[in-house]
Amino acid sequence: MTPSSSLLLEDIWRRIFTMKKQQRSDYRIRQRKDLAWDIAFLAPQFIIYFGLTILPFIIAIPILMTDQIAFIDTDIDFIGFQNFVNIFKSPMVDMFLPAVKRTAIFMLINYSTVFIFGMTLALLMYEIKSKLKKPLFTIIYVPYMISGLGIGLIMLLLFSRDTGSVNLMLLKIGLIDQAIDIKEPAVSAWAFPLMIGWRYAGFNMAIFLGGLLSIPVETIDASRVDGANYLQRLWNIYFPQMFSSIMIATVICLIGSWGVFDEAVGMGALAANKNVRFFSVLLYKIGFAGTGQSGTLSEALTMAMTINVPLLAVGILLSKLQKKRQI
Amino acid sequence: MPVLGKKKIAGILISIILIMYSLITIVPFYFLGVRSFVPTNKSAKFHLIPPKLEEFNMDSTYGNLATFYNIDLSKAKKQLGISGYINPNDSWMEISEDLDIPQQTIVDYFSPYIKYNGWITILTDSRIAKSLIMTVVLTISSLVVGGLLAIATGSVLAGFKKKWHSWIYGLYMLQMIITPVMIIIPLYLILGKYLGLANTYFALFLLFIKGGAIPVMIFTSFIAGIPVALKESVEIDGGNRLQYFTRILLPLTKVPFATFAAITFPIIWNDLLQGLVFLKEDKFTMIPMINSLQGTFTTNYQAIYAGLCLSIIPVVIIYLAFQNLFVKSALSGALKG
Repeated sequence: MTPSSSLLLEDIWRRIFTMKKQQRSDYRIRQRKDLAWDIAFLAPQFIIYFGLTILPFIIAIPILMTDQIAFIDTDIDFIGFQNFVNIFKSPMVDMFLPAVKRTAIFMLINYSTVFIFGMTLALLMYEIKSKLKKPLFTIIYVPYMISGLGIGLIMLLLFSRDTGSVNLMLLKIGLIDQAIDIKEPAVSAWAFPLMIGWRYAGFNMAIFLGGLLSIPVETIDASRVDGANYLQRLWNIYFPQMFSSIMIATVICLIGSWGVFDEAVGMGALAANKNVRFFSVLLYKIGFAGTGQSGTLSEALTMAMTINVPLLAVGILLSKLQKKRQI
Repeated sequence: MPVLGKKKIAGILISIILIMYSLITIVPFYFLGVRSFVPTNKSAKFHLIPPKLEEFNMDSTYGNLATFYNIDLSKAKKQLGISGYINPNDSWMEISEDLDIPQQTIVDYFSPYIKYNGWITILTDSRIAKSLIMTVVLTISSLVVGGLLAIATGSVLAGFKKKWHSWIYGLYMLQMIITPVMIIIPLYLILGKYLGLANTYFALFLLFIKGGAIPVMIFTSFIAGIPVALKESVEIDGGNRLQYFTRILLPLTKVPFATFAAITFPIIWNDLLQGLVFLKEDKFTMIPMINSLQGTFTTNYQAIYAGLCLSIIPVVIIYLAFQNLFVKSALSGALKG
């Protein structure tokens, strides 16, 4: 190699080296710029979201350990885990446990309506092919568009003992000789979840219908060829492959049942109707509508967290389970 | 006539069942409309159609109007120029003679209330008009701003190019299992006490734009489907991400935005708990306002039913207008899990 050509080689090599270094620092600058843009676009909503969804849990923790009576209370003392003991003693426990029991029973009956309404409707809708599908879907979904308060009021409108339209109609036709009293505890216990089930019928139907539509048709056809009847198809082909949507509906129903509020208020929970005083109503009354005599703020918060944290844990667990089983 | 196959019979039966269920679903709303025209004194009788319109009878007593028709008599007194106490047993004939008020004025004033009580009360009450307007303003502004924020969020998270993007997305998905009831007490501490936003529309506004599982899901998955070439074309032209956002992304996201609006609109419009907690009566949105019409002793049910109809109509209109989007998104959203 001639001296000049080796110098040329050195020169080229140096240029390539400098170019690569420049590229690396360009890359780092671009990374930083990307990060800056990412944060700029994410931050506005995330700050609000975090502050109003996650932060509440965080700031609740210190308050759980104090004796704060109301929102304006300034004389706050640390009392350790006393709140957790208090809510299981009279007089708090006389409100706490009945409300929890009532809500738990409601949750179970409500869960059954998810299938009675949602699954049944989805299976029926899956079988029909006509143009009726869309208008039917539209109508079935409508109750979900109505406010929860409205649904509760409509229940009273239809079934209150003296003026309920359905009562009056059935009495007139002669089908019943005594009006259904929606405010009676026994009636309320099953009528209320039925109404919620009716409200969410379209919603659950959509979830299950989506699950049904994602089943590969070959598996259904294969089972038909093998001579399976409808029930066998249902149990062996449909349900296993709908695991994902069944899980989703379960989680939503589970969490939602403990948050039922609007419909209860529509039925008079904040007025005189004791039968619909669910857990959420109790929390509202102590936290916002009471005068501190029914319970302190920190006790209300303790009750809330005692139920909600396990609830959230179960919800997260079920969601993870659902994702794992997704084929 | 050829014998129908078993499958076809089953199909017809299924259709009949579904049609019957749909009709049963509509029945409550029909009765809601009818009952908004049924005055209290007739409410113990069954009405399939709105009752015949009554005429105001001058022989009815002062007290009757309050009990049977839930008419706001203090407002009536102001309008008619009556001051002072009136014996509830006095008939309006006697009142018009005693206080020298022409009969026709009284008839003209009370006739609409006797005929269309619920609706007149709702439509002429200024509180309800203000509530309706503020609810519309709040809802539309929340949808626009919330949508923009969600598109911004989705534009970053789409594709999950970085690990921490997935973490943020996961945090947003948590909102699906966090109900407002769960956190309402600490929320009031944050918004009411610490930020001093009690009894402001702004508190509700923040709550409505904070985003959550559904908005972020909608936009993240949509933007992930936008060809990268579009983004690169902006870079080549020397543009920054803001220009990409405003010039390319926003015009493209019209359809998912409509889906987002159609899904979120009822959630905002029908909100009760947060309105009750963060607003006082003078600022109530529609649903808390209707709830507040339930008095402790006398409740004007026709007004409540009329108000309820009023709050249902906008939602149903939007729902029907965006029908296609609804069906599509409801079915596809379920697949994503």
